[in-house]
Amino acid sequence: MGKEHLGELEELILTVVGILQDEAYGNAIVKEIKEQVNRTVSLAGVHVTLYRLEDKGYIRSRIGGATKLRGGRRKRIFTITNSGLAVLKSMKDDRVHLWRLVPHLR
Amino acid sequence: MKIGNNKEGVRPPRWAIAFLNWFCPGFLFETIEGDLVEQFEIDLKEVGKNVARRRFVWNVIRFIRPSIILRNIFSTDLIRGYMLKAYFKSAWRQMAKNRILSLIHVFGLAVGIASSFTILQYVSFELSFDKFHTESDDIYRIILKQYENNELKNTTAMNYVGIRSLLKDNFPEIKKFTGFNFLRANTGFVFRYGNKMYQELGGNIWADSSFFKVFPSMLETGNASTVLAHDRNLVISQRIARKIFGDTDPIGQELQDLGDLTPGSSFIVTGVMKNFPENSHFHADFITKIDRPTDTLSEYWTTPQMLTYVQIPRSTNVGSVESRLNALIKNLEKMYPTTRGTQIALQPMTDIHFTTGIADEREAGTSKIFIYLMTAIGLTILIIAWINYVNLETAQYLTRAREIGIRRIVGSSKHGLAVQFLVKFFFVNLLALVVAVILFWLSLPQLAFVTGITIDNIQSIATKIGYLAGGIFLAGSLITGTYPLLFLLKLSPVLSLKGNLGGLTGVKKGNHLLIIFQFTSSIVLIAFVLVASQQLNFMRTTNKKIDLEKVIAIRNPTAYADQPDTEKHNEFKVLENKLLESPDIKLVSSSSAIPGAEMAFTIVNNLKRNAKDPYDPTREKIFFVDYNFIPLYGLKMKAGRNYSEGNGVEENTGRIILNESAIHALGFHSADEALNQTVSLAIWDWVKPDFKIIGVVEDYRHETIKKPIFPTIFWLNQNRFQQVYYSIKLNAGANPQNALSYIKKSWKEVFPDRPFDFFFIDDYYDQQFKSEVQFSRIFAVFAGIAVFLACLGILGISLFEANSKLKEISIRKVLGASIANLVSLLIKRHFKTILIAGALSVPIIYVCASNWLNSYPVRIQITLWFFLLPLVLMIALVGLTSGFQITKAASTNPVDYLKND
Repeated sequence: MGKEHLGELEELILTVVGILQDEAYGNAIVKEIKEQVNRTVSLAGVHVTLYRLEDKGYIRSRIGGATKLRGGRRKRIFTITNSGLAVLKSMKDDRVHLWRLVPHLR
Repeated sequence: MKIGNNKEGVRPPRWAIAFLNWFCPGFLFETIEGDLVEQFEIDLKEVGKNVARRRFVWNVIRFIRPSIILRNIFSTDLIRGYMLKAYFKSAWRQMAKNRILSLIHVFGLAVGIASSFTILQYVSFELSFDKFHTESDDIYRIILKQYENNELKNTTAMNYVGIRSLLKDNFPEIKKFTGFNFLRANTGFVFRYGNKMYQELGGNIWADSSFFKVFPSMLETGNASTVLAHDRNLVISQRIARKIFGDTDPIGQELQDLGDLTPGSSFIVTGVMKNFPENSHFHADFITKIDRPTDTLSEYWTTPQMLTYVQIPRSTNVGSVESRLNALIKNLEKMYPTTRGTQIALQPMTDIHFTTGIADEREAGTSKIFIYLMTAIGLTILIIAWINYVNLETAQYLTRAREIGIRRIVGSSKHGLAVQFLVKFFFVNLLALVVAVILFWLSLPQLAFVTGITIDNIQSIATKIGYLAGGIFLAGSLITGTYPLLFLLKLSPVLSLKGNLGGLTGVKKGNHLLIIFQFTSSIVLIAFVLVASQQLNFMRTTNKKIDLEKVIAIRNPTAYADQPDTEKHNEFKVLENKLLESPDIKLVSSSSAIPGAEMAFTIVNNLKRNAKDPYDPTREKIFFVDYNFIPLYGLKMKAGRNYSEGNGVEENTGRIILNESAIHALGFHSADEALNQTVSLAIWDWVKPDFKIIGVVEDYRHETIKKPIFPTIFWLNQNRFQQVYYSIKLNAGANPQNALSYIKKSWKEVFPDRPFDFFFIDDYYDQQFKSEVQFSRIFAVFAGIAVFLACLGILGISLFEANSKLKEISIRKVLGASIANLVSLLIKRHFKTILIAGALSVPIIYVCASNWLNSYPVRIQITLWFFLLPLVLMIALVGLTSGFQITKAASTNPVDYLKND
């Protein structure tokens, strides 16, 4: 029962979770965003947004494996849900529709 | 644990991890920490050890957010920031929809909060007495306890002059102590500066040189050790400095003494002190040092006449000082038999304001019980206001049950609803707080007038009020929020959709109990008001056996002036004759004391059957009158006669008049028995062994009925010893204002340069009841508020019930019920509640009233009236408030409400 609209950061992170599929967790998302759109986001910001997205039901989480790099601490891995995909699609449709209406972007 | 591939074992700062552990909810910690550590490793490679560590700490800090920290406490649903805004909107709309109800909510709460502010101010003021002195906790007053046959006869604030020498000689660890007394208990400080004569009544203290060592914070200009070093040094208050000297520097100026202590010589101003604040147990505008060469060693231990204060260092045990002093006093008994049976006690200075029962107390204090009572009332009012709120809210839910049911079904979690309502409560409480502050500021002047609490003191407790405000706000929100919350969660959504509110009977019962509490407290408060005002009335009107009506008193400041006695007497006679020319004036008299204040001259062991009789510790009062005093005040003679001018000048010819108590103290069994007997009377230094008792005055209440009647000696005196007061009795038909202007004119003719200081005796006498008057006023105010709030609650509920029961009312109407039937049906429930409350209030009223009344030597009886009247009043009020609403509802057209079904 949340809003249909996502904030800009929420949208970004939700999309990246969609990209990373089963590999989406804090550090990976930070890295992916940096690589794909050359933007620096903070780990804390990512975490907070992830939890919010989870509350809204667009992603779900599970506890994943530990690695030596993390000193044996496990990670929380997120995956996108159907409703998350749905909202992404609807946002994409809206965006594209609007951009097409801008004369210079045609 | 080993971190990653880091060969050197560099780790992120451990304290940062510990910190994270502290604020991060448990289930999130591990994964967050892991992410942070991974980031750390990456940073290590990129930017090196130091930067990596810095970044780690920074990242940890950035995790400090409500959505992380509070994730444990609230379930996930709640932290939807965007929802909060929606909740606020919904709260606002709800309130706007039911304007009247909302107004009642907010206003009721605001009144409750404002009341508690006021009470806080009062309590805080009272509790702050004397704390403004530096190290006030270590200052003690040495009081004297006088025993006779091992029975405590008297406790007095005064002490022997010699106590200080005992301290000096035997207690090297105690360095700060002082003794002082108030000069001229009955007139002020009379002096001349420039061409003006002043009579200042603001307290004139004669002290030793250490006064400011014990009370250093009072001294504004001047050195505490030397400002009173020499004889005739004078320290004045800022107020006096401004009044007399304006902007000139008062230091070094001379004031000419017009009293008769050491006539003609001057006082030199050596210092200026702060004005004694309201919350001090004594006040003075002048402090002087006067050497007393007449203090012989024997004088040290005769009459207690100095207030003695001592500062005891923390390291010294107070109890041991007390016992050592008492042991020393016991040793003096042989040499100074007047000290037999006396003990001292060390009274903490901050206790003085709250202690009663000590004689020679300059200003009256208050009792701690009253403070507790006030706090209890404040709490009660607040609780009543909260109860109102809670009841109204829960009642409202009953109508909104449908809406709630829908919300629940569609998916709003329990907690979501909880947040919504919490938001509303915060909102209402905040609003109420704001209104309360406004109410408080607006009503301050009125309150100050009614209760006698001054406004200046508000500044000093502004911070405390701030804390209390915050506390009330938080507590209020929590309490008023959680109670309805609890029942909300029990609502079954499906059932409530259907309109069935099963499971709510528990809540209804709860509400019922709360209402009973409200009513009971209202009834109890009303009863208290009744009892207090009855008792007050009784004390004021009970037969004092003295006639105070239409008597104007003038205080003659120069009664002590250094003038030959005959001159003073002639001046008085001139005035008297002038006054008697007026048809308004019946009698004029001069005396050293007037009814309404304790007589200043107390003697012990001076009045005896025979000069050689053993020591008599009875405290007796002596005052000086002229021929007209006894008839002017309508005092009755039990035996014998008044002094009579016709018998030649009777003074100093060995005639004396005593009152009944004095007679009994001497051992006579009746007034007639005492008549014409001779007694020995010692006054100052001479003893006259053969005064003949020519009259016995019937005991009368010179002071309030709260105080015992002293054995009193009426000494005839013609403007010799301290004839300070002139009493003027007006004729029955006289207009007081006219008489007053005539008197003033006459005064100015006889004493052109003296201030005209007058007052009405009945007012003056009445001032003794100041604390009771204040008490009953305050009670009345807050009882009124409590009742008002309780009625407000009833109003709200009935407003509400009328609405919700409309359907039922309509059906009943259709079925034939009359308006009267309906009204009585709806009111019946309330009445039952009131009756229960009434029953509960009976024991409370009885116990409290008895206790309070027992503290008075004369008291009224507790009658049935005190229980019935409040009850009847409550019933009337409730009937009015609810009846009105219900009648309105009952008279509507039933069709309107049955349409929807």
